[in-house]
Amino acid sequence: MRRQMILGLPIHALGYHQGCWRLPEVPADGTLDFRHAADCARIAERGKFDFLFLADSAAVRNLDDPAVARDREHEQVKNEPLALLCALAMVTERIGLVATASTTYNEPFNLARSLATLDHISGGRAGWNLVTGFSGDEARNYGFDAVPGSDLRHERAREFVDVTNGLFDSWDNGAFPRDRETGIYFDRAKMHFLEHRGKHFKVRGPLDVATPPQRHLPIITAGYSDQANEFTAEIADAVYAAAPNLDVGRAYYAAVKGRLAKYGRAPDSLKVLAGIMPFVGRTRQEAQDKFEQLQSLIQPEVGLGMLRLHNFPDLRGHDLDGPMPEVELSRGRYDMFSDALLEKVRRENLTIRQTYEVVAGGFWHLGKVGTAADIADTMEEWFSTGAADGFNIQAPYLPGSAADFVELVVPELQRRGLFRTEYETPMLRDRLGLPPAVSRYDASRLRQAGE
Amino acid sequence: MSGVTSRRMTLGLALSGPGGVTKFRNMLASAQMAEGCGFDFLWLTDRPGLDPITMAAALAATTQRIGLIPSCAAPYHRPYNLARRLASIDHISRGRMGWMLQPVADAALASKFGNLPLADVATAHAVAAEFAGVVAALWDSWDDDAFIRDKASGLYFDRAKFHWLDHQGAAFKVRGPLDTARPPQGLLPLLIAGGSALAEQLAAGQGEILHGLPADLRAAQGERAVMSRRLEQAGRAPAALRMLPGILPILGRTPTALPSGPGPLPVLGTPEAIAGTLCEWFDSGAADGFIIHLPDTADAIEAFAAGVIPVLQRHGAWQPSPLGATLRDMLGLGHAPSRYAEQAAQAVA
Repeated sequence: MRRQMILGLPIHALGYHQGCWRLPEVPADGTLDFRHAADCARIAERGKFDFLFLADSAAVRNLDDPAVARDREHEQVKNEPLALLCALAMVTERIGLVATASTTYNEPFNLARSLATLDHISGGRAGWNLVTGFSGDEARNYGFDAVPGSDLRHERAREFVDVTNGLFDSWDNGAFPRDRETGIYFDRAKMHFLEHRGKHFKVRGPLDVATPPQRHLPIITAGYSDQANEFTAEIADAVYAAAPNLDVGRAYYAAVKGRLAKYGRAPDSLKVLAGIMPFVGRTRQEAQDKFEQLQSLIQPEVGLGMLRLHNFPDLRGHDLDGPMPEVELSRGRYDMFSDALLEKVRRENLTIRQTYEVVAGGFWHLGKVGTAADIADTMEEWFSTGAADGFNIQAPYLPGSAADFVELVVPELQRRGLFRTEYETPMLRDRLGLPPAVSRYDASRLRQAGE
Repeated sequence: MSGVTSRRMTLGLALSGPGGVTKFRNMLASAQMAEGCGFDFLWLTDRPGLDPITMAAALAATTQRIGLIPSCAAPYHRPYNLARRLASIDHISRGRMGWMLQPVADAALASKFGNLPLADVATAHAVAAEFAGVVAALWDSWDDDAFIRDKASGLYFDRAKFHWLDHQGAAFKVRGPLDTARPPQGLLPLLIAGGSALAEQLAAGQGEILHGLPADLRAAQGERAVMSRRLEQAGRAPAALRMLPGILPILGRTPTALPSGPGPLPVLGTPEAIAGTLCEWFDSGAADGFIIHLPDTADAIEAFAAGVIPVLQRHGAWQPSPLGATLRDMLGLGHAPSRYAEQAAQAVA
């Protein structure tokens, strides 16, 4: 069969564009309203998306920085991903459900239990976006004064995954005969104590939940550091890449897949998902109008805050329509993006306002304004020239632009044979092209039999 | 039959046995049956099987009126994680969530979780009290009217209406604020399982439901008197804690062997006789309602409810709660103002 794209829909508050919540058609109180999330989920399922994706950070970030106008943004309060996805599992039937959960601020047994529960109640549709947490605001909600170092976080994350997968292997296939005649509920010979004793965790097992339908949940990662990329190559089934243009996208794709051989993995065993923010219209003019309407709704305080979070200094008090002054960028998580942004500012002589509009328009990822054919062209180019195996569709405003994407772009992708017309398989693993997960105990028996 | 009182009996349901624990559709059938029969809430006890907290979120999306109270073992959770998850389910269910906090998990469970040594029981209760306090305080992070969401002015929330927690206690250090709005109920009712002086102390401080295990009416009345004193010492009104003893109804003929030992009180007899006992306890003031323990099957729930609940209703003790009632409403607990609103009101006074 011809290779097809993977598509995810992040339900990110009211949309990815900072002006979105002020659009008349967007429900400004939707961030906590289950009906809003359910609307988005049903739209994505109608479009045969592979999965819903809930990003997360267990904190309200940068609330104490007066130069970041959080009070004018829509995304600071939300529903916790695992709770929301368990509820969304009840109003959907086929779509995958990817929950973000941190290995730094959870315990393996608890998280394994919650993820297994989501997988059970959804019939094998759960996925885990594994994060280690980068924000100090988050760390301070869990007893730390600052975020633990990246090496330590990734070391803990490796052990965490080993433990959760070990717990998922607590029961062999067929461990629960639940036989009313013989009265045997589970078969002791098919149960395994994990007896894990590592640097970060000591966990005996077994997991007190039957084996999740997928056994091991697909793991998605993101991140830009060397540690994060190495972790991705070792552990992840898919990675959420950030690439603002085709060159960066191809370079990232080649680099991260190039690391796989070291772990005995085939290039195809890791799916690279690019982020794209599509501003789609029935005509180019309609798309451009929507884009400009959204850009006009960005408040200057919010725009300046966005620049601040991209390493720029506090620019309050400067003329927004004047040239960007000489600035020295601070160093942080987004260096790669902020450096590229400043380069673009200098190259194109952007004003301050134009600079934050670039960020708001999807600078980090791929922003694209146009018709369904225009957007499909771009996606096809990325997909067929080694920059992406699929995309997270960063709907600028929800649910409207997700519905537009499903109505306009999805049929175009289907016409080109690039995307499914029906769901083929119930489980997320299968849909991502992953082989069935084999229990570590079965794997070891198979190895012994082969020797 | 007594006259109509302003008090309303609360009926909670606790399920036992392996019925629905690994099969979600069984659990869903039980929850929907309990809701259809008029139970005010379902206590999702921590049995082997699906995680009761995330399962509550799924049940919230598939029920309309029943309250949901998952058990949470304090030693295995972090306050910030639990506060946001429970608040989110309160948002999703529109105010139908409660929580049960277990200070000490049993040793068998403890060994499975791993690297968290079992503190001695007293310390565990002190930690649980701090835990419950931090969770409740995180729920107050945002005032009820913090979110303006004014498209014209562009103001989404009022900076003057959130609160840093900056909690630094013996067990936890949490900065806040919570990353979700104040839950619809403000404060989710906290259920504590009684049975020890330490548990009663925890309930008197922060509990809003006490699941007691009195052996008879006199013991229940004694427990009520003890709790009234404890509540007074804690500066709370006697009605701030709802006393819901555990009852194990056994319909029909007397079985050969009654369950013995600690646990919910077996009450035998015809539906009329069981309802009579419940009304006697309720009318005497020894109980505000009951947590009914039943095997986890839709049939068992229906059999109890069809026989007993209509009698309670005829007696005037129980009536169905209206659609849209929060769990606090169903328990007869008043609105829970935020601690900051209370402080401001006191400052003005």
